[in-house]
Amino acid sequence: MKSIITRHQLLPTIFTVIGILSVLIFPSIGDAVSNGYVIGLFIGIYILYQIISLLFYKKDTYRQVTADIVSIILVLFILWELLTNRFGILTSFVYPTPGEVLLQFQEDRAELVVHLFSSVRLLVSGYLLAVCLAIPLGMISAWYGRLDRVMRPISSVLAPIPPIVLIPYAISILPSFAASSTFIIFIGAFWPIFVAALNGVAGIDRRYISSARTLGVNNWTLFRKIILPAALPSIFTGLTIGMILSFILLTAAEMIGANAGVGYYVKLATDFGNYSQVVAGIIFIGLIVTVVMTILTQLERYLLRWR
Amino acid sequence: MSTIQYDNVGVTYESNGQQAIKNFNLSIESGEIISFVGPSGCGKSTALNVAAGLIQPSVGAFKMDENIITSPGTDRGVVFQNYSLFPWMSNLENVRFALSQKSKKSNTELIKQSKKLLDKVGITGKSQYVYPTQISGGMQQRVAIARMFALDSPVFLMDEPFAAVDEITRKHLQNLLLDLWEKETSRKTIILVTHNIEEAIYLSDRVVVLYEGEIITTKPIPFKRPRDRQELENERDYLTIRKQLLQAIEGNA
Repeated sequence: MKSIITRHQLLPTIFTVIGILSVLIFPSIGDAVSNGYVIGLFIGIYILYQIISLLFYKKDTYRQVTADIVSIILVLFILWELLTNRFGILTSFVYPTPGEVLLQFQEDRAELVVHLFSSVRLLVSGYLLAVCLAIPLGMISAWYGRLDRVMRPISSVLAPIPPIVLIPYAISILPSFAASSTFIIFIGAFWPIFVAALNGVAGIDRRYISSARTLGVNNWTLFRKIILPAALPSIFTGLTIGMILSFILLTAAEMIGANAGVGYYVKLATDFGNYSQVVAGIIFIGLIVTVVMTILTQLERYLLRWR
Repeated sequence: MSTIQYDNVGVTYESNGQQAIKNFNLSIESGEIISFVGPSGCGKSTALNVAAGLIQPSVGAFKMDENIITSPGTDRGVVFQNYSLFPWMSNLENVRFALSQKSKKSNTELIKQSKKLLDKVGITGKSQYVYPTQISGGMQQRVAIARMFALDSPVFLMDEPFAAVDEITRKHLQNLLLDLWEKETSRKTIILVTHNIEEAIYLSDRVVVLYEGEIITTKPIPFKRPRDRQELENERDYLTIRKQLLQAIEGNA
């Protein structure tokens, strides 16, 4: 028998239906958002799931994972809606309902895009600066034994200093907030990438170098075609850690001294006690991080496809 | 063309002061196939690495045509047990990369030449475009052999090239190597490190037995070429030589 809903789609479909039913069965205790909005939220998640599922139409395990993750998200939304807006267990104003947060998103969408661009600009400039300096410096340090022996102890002292403590000082000594947060992100991302590049080169099996030497390659080719690709798996772990740290530092800096950016948006909302804005901001940041990390993972998968 | 000479070579490792090889004297004629055999740690790989220019002799000198060799070069092609190929390059790219190091030809020309070389060793079609990790160990060594021939060096150095593959694949690879070697107009000089006596006898003109860093026996293998494995194993001399070599190795082990 051929059914419309495939094996993978069973759980997300069930939870979408449960979500819609719970909205229809239990009366709202008054969040000033119509039921249609919340039902729209569940249907929206379900449609998004179907689109993502189509992208993975060839990979069975991915489809299963997507279905499971979507199910968990749906369950969380149902619980959230029931606890705040249906059963009235979390009624204080610090617990906005899903509908309120959704409305907030709609209201603030233009503002959020402005904050997004401000944040991404700082993130990209600080992170790229770190990448451009840390990878060559780390690799060069590993290659020259004398530099390696100096840089290892220095990096093991400097790297663990939490860059977060530098934020207020950087803001006071640097001319603008953009300059100081770029600097902080740079510091945060630099050390993990530097150490990864250092270890990546130091850990290359000498036999690859020997093999290349017997082909008569010059130093520049040796670096580009042998050392860089051989160190790349290690470098990518540094790039990932660096990116996570960059994001933490970016939002932290924005909460301390900015007048734009997603961190600033959340901080301002907290100061004014607008908690649906706070939750909307947190979810928005979660989405940004997911997109950025996905891009990085796809890049890694492409460049390390030989593994 | 390329006469190779180990002139009283000794290698002492700085790290532990151990003498890996000592009083190593050996002359190899152009076009000869020589095998180094011996128990693990006898210094056979060290002797090969001296020839490759990857290890510097502490005393004495390694010479090719009277020139002292101290670094790797394109005049010697090397194949290791593994780690010869670069896993981040496709099989085709591995060969093309080697060719591009000494040829000034256009890229399309180099790719064409690389494909031809891979065809010759039996890596055809789709296998040329995949990464080394996507094919078997035996197939990888075929690519490594293709790359070695790509360099067209007068001297080939092979460090246990067939040790990591199964018995049948090993025999195929040995035949492939001999076949390619015999087809060359100017025959390559090959130094082969192996722990397989049968392999050494089948392939070599001379087998050098090492023990604790010293040459204890050099045994000429008198069989005519091209050799047939079956015929060879039925020869009376074959068993005698095999026995003598085994005794030479085991008598000191």
